[in-house]
Amino acid sequence: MSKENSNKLLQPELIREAFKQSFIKLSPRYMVRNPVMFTVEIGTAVMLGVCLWVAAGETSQGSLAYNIAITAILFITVLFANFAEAIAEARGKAQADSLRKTRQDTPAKKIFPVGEMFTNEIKIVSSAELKKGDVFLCETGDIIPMDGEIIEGIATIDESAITGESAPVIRESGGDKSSVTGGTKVLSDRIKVRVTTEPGESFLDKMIALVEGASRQKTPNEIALTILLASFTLIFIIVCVTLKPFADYAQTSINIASYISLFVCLIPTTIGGLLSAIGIAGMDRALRANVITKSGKAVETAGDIDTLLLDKTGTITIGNRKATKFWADGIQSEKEFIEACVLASLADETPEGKSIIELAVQNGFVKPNIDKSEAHFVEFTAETRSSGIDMHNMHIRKGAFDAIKK
Amino acid sequence: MNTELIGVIVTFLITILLAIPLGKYIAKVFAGERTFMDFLNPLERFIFRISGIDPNKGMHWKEFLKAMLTINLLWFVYGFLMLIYQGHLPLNPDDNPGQTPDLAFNSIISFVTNTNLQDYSGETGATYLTQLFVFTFLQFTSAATGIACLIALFNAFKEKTTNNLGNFWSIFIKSITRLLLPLSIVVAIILAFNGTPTSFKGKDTIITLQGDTQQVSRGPAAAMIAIKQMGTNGGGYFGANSAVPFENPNYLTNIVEAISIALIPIALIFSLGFYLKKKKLSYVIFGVMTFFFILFCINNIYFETKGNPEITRMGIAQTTGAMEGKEVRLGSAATAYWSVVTTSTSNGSVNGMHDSLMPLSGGVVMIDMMINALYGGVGVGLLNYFIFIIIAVFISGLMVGRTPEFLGHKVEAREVKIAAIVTLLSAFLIKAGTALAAYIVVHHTNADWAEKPSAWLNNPGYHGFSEMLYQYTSCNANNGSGFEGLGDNSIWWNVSGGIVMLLARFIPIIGPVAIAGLLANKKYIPESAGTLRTDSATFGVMTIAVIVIVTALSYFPPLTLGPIAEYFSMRP
Repeated sequence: MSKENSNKLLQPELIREAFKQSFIKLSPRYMVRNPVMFTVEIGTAVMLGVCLWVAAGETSQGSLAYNIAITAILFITVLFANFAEAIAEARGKAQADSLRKTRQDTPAKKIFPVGEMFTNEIKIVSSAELKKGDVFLCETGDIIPMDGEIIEGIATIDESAITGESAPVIRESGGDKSSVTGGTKVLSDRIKVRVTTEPGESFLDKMIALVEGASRQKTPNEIALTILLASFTLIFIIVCVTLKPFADYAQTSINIASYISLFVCLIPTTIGGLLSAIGIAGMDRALRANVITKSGKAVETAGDIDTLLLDKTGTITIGNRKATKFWADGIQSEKEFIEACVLASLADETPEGKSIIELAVQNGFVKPNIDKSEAHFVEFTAETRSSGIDMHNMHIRKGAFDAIKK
Repeated sequence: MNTELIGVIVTFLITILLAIPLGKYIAKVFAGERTFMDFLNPLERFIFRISGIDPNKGMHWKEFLKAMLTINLLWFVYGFLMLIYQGHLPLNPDDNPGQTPDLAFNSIISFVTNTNLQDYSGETGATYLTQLFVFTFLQFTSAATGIACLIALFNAFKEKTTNNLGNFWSIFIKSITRLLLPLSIVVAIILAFNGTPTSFKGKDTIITLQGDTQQVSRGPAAAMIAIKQMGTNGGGYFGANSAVPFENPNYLTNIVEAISIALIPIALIFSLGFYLKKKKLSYVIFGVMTFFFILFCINNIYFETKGNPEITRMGIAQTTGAMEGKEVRLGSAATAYWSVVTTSTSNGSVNGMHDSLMPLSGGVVMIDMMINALYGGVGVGLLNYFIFIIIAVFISGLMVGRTPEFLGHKVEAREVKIAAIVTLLSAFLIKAGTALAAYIVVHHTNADWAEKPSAWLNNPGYHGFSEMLYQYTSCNANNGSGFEGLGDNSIWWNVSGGIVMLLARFIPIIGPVAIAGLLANKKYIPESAGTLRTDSATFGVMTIAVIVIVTALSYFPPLTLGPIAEYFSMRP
């Protein structure tokens, strides 16, 4: 969702697509949802009937040209309202497509119970092909492709993409901490996960559907405004219908075209026609400011906000623990201590371990290149909560206090 | 001419000057604080005890409305039976017969709904018993119902969040004992000492200047007239209402009655400010209403004192203005002022025939009733205005992109739906009624009914249309005055008028009380820098705009074909 997506208002492909859509949206089943424009559509249909009637020889309703002109104007009004809505939706779709691209490219290591060559074979498939119940494997450094439940293993996972919390969390099978979300990254160990959502229903999918406007619920203000518009429309229906007996009493004749034109002029056609376009445009606008709103109601609430409370972790801080100083305890020299720290952290892929090496390099140490044959690296695991190195009869361990004690 | 104008201005100013302390007093009474009328406490406690009312038991808005509706239904049945059998009941010195069922239906509904539309004439259509124990009685109770429902709205906004709108019975009784009764006694005494009859004897026989013998009706009128004005009821003792010298003997009583019409409605606006400790809000509301009121007064007084253009065309000077249908002791300016004040407050008493008003005065008076929220009836005026506030708050909230809220409570879909229904109802009733009547007059002029539609309209053309429009507008606004050229004691008008009055009284009470109850239940949002202020002049202007737009859009077509067309056909 970079700035390049704020494209021009009227791109040719968008216009063509919207134009086609505006005719498709003329179907009554769709128009009923918008009461104001629906009444205009009914008026257009009635006028069409009157035109045919005048063409067949009726003289009391004015000239044919007059009636045809009114019908044409009404038709264009309805069409334009649909066009505005279609354009808004098309722009929303463009945004949604870019979101969709981020999702489809994640590879998944799916475990096939009965594979081509042997059982429990692992093949790499696209995340879009994972169905509910499939089992996949995630190892250190992989991005989890779909929402799921861990059935085997324990791992530390970076969930900052979804929750914003950048300190890694530990997830393991069994118990209540076993669910993982698609789009998050495994930082250590490996886990087997069973997919728990249908392909189109993951968190990211819901956000995309929202942006596209397909499953958009009406916001509270929109509902209230629709009620107000509907009541005004009803008032004006009464005005126009009762005008006929009044005119009869006053011995003035008014033709049908005038009634319908009066009615369409009175009802709030502009607001009624553009209301749905406004709703979609609101969400689109928020998206362009890199604000993902989970519902239309949230967009409205965003307009009322005057104070924003932010959780500072991860926003103004790095969020990950970072080594800033070496504290030698005096038994060895500082140089030896730092060397030992560096050696113990060589195999530690967590941000803490990497920052230890970074700090050492900053202080002037050269990262040693240890040959794998000479030393045995003990990687950081969630279970042991420590890492280290065994080399030349040296055992160096670093980790949590109680883990080392053991 | 100048003295007439001064008379009108003085009347209006005295009304406002009296209304402010009265508003304070009303707020104190219903807030339970000490007032100088507390000597009535033992009487009220006695009433509560024998009726089994616990004045401290609070009521949810649904309970409140149920109580209000049940007792009104009871009174309807009671009064209906009384009217039908009044010929057989005592206190009938003039031997007036019982009313026909359709007339009784209409009369009872009209008095229960505070309309007091009288398709009967007091001298012949009612007995002293029914005048006192049905009509005067209902005038007190319908006024108290309106006030009680308004106090429920006050209670809804008093606390931050509440479910308790007060106890209907205790508020109802208090509004009679502390407010209506004392004021009515004062006015009745003033009227009685100025010549209004209060006797229980039958018709009086006099010998006219020509030498004929004439029977003149009298009766216990003073008491009824006092509450008729105080409770914005409008139903007079005699058929010609306050135009008859027996009801309105001189200019002093005219001033007193004109003040009484508007006193409580204006006082209630100020009591809103005192009760909720939001004086600025009440000033804004008062300002909006007075703005329209003064505009209408200027219009009416101008046209009435200018005189009838047709008569001017004949070369006759009209130094006192258009005097057809007006009383010489009162004058055209006072009648014009009275016409505006009586339709603003949905009172409906008249001191001159409205059918003889100039076309645009008649038109303005109709617009006044169509809005029905400028001061308005006791209690219900502010309830109707509340609907306009809700719509104005909603529209302005959406215009600036904020969530609409009123006095700290969010206005959401449900409240807007109710407000829309109430607004729609008025428009529907008035226009559908007039349309049906117009249709019948045009297409079924000689239908085989007891009273043929051709006999309905005494004035053909635009004025006849105005007569029909006015009748339904008056029923919808619970006003009760009429363009009496209309033959309205016929089954069609009695029944359709009754239905309109019933719906137009209770739905615009149920609606705002429901909205207030729903809003009161919501979480309270404290005022912040971004709140839309409802007690600013800007919001007042916004409300004016909403009132003008909604009224103009709904009612312009029939107004054009009635009063406005008549005006243009009469221009010199």
